[in-house]
Amino acid sequence: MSFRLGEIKGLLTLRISLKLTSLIFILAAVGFFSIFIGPVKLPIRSVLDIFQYQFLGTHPARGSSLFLDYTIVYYVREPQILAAIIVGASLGIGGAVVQSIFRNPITEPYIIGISSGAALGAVMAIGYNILIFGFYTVQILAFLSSLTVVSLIYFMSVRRSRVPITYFLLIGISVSLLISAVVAYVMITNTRLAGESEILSWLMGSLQAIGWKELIPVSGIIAVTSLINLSMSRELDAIQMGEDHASSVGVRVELVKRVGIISTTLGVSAAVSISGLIGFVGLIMPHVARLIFGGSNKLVLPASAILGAIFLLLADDVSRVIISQQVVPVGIITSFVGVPVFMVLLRRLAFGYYEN
Amino acid sequence: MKIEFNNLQFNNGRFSLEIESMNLRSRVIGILGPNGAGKSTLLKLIDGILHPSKGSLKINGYEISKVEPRRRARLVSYLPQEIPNPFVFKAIDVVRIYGYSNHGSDELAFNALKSLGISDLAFVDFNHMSGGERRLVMLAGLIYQNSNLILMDEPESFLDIAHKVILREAIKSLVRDGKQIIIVLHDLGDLIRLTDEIVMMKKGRVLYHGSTHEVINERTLSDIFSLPFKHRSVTDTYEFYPADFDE
Repeated sequence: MSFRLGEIKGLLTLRISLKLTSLIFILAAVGFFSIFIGPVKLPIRSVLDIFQYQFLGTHPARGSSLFLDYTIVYYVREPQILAAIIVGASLGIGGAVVQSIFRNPITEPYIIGISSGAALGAVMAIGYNILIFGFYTVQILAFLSSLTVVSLIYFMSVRRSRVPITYFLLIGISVSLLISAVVAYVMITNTRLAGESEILSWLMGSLQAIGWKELIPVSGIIAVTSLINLSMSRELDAIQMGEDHASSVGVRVELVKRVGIISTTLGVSAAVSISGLIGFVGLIMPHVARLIFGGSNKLVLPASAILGAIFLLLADDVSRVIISQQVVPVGIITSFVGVPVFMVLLRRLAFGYYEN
Repeated sequence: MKIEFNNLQFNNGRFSLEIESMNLRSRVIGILGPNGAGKSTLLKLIDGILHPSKGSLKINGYEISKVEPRRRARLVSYLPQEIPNPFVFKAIDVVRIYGYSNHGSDELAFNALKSLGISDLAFVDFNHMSGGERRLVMLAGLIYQNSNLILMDEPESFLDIAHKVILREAIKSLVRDGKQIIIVLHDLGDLIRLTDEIVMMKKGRVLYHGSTHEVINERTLSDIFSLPFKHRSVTDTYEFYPADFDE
């Protein structure tokens, strides 16, 4: 061949780092832009003054007149933007990890019981007015219930001290269906839930009214679990070639599967506990990442996280303005956008790697 | 390297394999037997990705199923019969995966493709290649993994004539580099040409084992394939070989 690897690699590395950097810039730009979206119009001047106060600590000259705008930025828009970023990132990276472990491009984190488990916790907390964890009972119960259901499915799938992925998927789907039936039963029979929009908006997923107090621990969990997932990119690449293959090249397959499932479950359950069940981010973002960056998880994992954050931010912006005087749960928007996008992707996949 | 079997038993409920006592030490060792004889299971046991239910299988004195996985991967590598179907890897991504145990560079991964004359496939989507090309990419992966013992499970399936020549040359060059190879082949001619030692298997047992010329004959072949075999000189028939093949 006339080309040398060095030249190609140099060009490729440059192109890839350009793409990753531009994704980060797009995320920052969309994040900044999202501050201005909402029922109350904020002048750019006020936002800049508030940033000056927040990040530089200096008081702007017209400090007192900014009080209302500051309240909106600090207590409403900023937490909502941060929530969209961490929830989107957690769902995106979780989707990429689960798809690699299951070697199946149409799986997502919810499929292993996270969504039905969290829904059960939330419905119980709201329906029976449980207050054991005070103001945060819904979030904490959703989180714990999600962890419990995934563990149950995991331990039911163990065969000869291994977890065969097909078992895990089938048991995950059937137990999830069973728990969804329990959730539906509680929703129908519980009078507190009749016509209650809180549970509906939780089940559809919403980033409204998330405060700093729950954001900080959830961000911590998502940061740690995402780092763990990012550190396993080579192992996940090998597992995509098949478990025997991965084992043969020296990967501890069962350990990687266990760690991947635990960290994904923790990260996504933490995200879901504050946002409810936002759909399609975990399913689609890894595919978009692979279309842009190719299959290597070293890039797919971070790209899925950034793309998930961007997608959820944009969807949340739309949800805030699509109907005036009313906020639509963001999960409705992600599904509305996600379903057609997924249909197009499926057609593309059908001619690509999923035809076999 | 010396591969020692001692009262080895493997049983997974559907299939059982037993080898009382056997030592393998030749450069190129062939495994022959009908479908379902346990050839792939035997390779997976030697690779350490299946563990014996009883007894021991040692490579250079190490119980292979107990060796730490990365160290094991530097000792043994395995070209499976099935061709995997990952999402969207390029050939170079696939080769890179085989370097998990040895921290090889991208340069070396690319050189492995180059050594088989398929460096133009480096950035082609693995799933869009033919079966033969994919097998060669995996072979490049094994070259990159650079273990001392290399196991190949029917590597000739899916290969056309030109690809078979590449495979044979690759095997010769691996042997020249001091590698030991255990290969499952269905082509008797190639098996006789390539190997020094043969293990003949049937229904999870080793029936015959010894040097290639000693072991392969009408009786042993008829026995393991339950089919009459006849040896015949081929001088009066035509055979075609690529010009650079077989010297």
